[in-house]
Amino acid sequence: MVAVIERWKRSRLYELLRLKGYVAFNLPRTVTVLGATLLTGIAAAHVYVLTSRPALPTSFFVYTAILGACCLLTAASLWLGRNPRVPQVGWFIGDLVSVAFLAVYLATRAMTLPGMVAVTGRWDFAPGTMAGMLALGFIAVHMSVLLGINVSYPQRQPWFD
Amino acid sequence: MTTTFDYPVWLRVDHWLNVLFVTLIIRSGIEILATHPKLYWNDDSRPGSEWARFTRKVMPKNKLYDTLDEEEDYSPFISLPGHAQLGIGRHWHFVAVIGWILVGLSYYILLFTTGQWHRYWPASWSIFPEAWNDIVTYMTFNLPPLLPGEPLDAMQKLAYAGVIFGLAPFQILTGAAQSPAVEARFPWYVRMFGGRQWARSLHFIGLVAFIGFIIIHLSMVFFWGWGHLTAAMIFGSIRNTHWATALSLLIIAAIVAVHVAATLWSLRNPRSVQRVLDAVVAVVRRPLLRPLNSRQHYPERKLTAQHRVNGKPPCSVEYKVMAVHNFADWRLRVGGLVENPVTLDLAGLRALGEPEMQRVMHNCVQGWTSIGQWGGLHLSALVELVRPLPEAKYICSMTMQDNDRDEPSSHGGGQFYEVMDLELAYKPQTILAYEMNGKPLPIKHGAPLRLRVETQVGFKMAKWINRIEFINDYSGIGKGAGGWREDNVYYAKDVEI
Repeated sequence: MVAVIERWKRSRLYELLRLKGYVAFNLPRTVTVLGATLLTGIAAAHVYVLTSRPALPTSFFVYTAILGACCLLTAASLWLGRNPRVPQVGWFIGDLVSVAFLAVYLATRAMTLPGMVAVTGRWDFAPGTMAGMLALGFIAVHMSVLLGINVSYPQRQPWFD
Repeated sequence: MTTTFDYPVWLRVDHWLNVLFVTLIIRSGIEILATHPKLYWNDDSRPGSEWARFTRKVMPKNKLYDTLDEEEDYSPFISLPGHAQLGIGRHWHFVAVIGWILVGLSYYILLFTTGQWHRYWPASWSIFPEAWNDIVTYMTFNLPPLLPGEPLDAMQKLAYAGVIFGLAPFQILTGAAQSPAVEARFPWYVRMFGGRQWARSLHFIGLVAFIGFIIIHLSMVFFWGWGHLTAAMIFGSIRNTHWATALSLLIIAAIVAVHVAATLWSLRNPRSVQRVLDAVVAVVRRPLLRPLNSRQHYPERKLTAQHRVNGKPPCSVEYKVMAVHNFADWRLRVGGLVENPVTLDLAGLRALGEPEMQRVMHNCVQGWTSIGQWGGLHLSALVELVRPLPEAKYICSMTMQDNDRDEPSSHGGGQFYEVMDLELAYKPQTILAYEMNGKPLPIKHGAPLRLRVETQVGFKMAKWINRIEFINDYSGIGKGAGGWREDNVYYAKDVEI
């Protein structure tokens, strides 16, 4: 695994993604607020759908409850700085939640699920687009942290000069 | 069919001129950023405290480095002219800003005298829910309806209002806050933004906002119909959309050509760029900024613990011997076009007058700042002692620094010197400093003597001075541009901004 990571860090794509090391920010709290807000936004978009669309099936309630709980718990974990490993793992869980949501959302664009005519089978569904943008945003923010462009709480950039 | 959008000719001309000037400002601004590619929220510019950096350089822990070592060399593709040419970048930035402000003024005047401002000014609070509805519509991958009788939807109208009445003035105000003359005369104005480095950081965030706006603006034009909208912005109405598309690409090509020409001219003949552009900038700079006098007096608690420094001390044996003996052997020779040439040692210099003390902000040309307390003799006391002849117009400060030997990473070699107008000697807080923070001037800050001219950018305040000449012409000194940095990095001689 270490060898794979080392090889990845030597690759051109890695250099390109991290903008060749020319851009870096030391805004750990801002980045963490951003990450937590994006996850909370995904949960909020689902709650909005739940409250604004009539007659949604129980399965969507269950899905929203699980997804919302995952988003909010993960968002909260990003602030647990006493043990730095917790927020670090939290960011990866946030990625998983975002990817899972995107997979479900994209899959349900191709088919209309029974009882969910209003929210599946179509692309012109604004809350879905919004939640998708938030999920992609979260993944992008975490990617920027992994690439060293950003840093998240409780870490700081190791700048002495 | 012809749809009239009622874009008057002046608005269309201003729009395309705006594209030219904004892009020139952005590229030259990136060049300026490259020279100190770090942004702070504190006026000390404390190493390691930056919130953003745009450099790969890591400074050494075990040897002396100065801020010149931190300079980056960006590609001409993103900066104007590129290749660490701060002086030329500054000339382009200031000329483009003057052009942009003139275009902006004409735009504002015509906007308000013709009633066109209604097009962009949100007259009702209802525009906010309407704008939200537009965002929702965009998220359904559809285009929202235009406002009744207007060429924009609510979101677009809000965005234009934000840029025209908010972002553009904000950039001008935060830019002005970075002028040492403005900062020296109106310290409260800079504090209004949170400090000089806050102003610089906010100016950068404004740049990012401008780039974001440009990207979204171009996307909108593309999605709403490039031919239609460029026709409106070229012909004033939607007609001949194919011609409009071709013409819009031609205009963009012309703007790119201006950029290419500016870059090539700058890289091939920087001296002529320096002369021509600075002559333009001086027309505005001199009447606006020269009359400003420094009125700074920062509280003691604001002093920077580790004042940054630009330029390395002389490392000649002669200087080292002098330093070991606390500069007892140092002499200041003052001559040239004067009635009474003198040679002074430190005690003699101190005896010329009561020391003046000032706590002021040092504004480096690179963009960093620090706050220091300086003590020394007002330059006018020395001027009165030597009595310049009527033909004397400038003061040339010569130093013990030789850049061939002392600053190998600099843009050239030779003895460091700086020329300034004689009138600056009579300005408040213009001193020959021999103390810093209540102690003898440290070596890295110019011991035993340096100049402080608080309305000018830092490089004018020569360090390690051992000779002062009163002159009426500087064309025969160095390369004739008015100072070592003017000669080698093409800065302007007068640097109130």
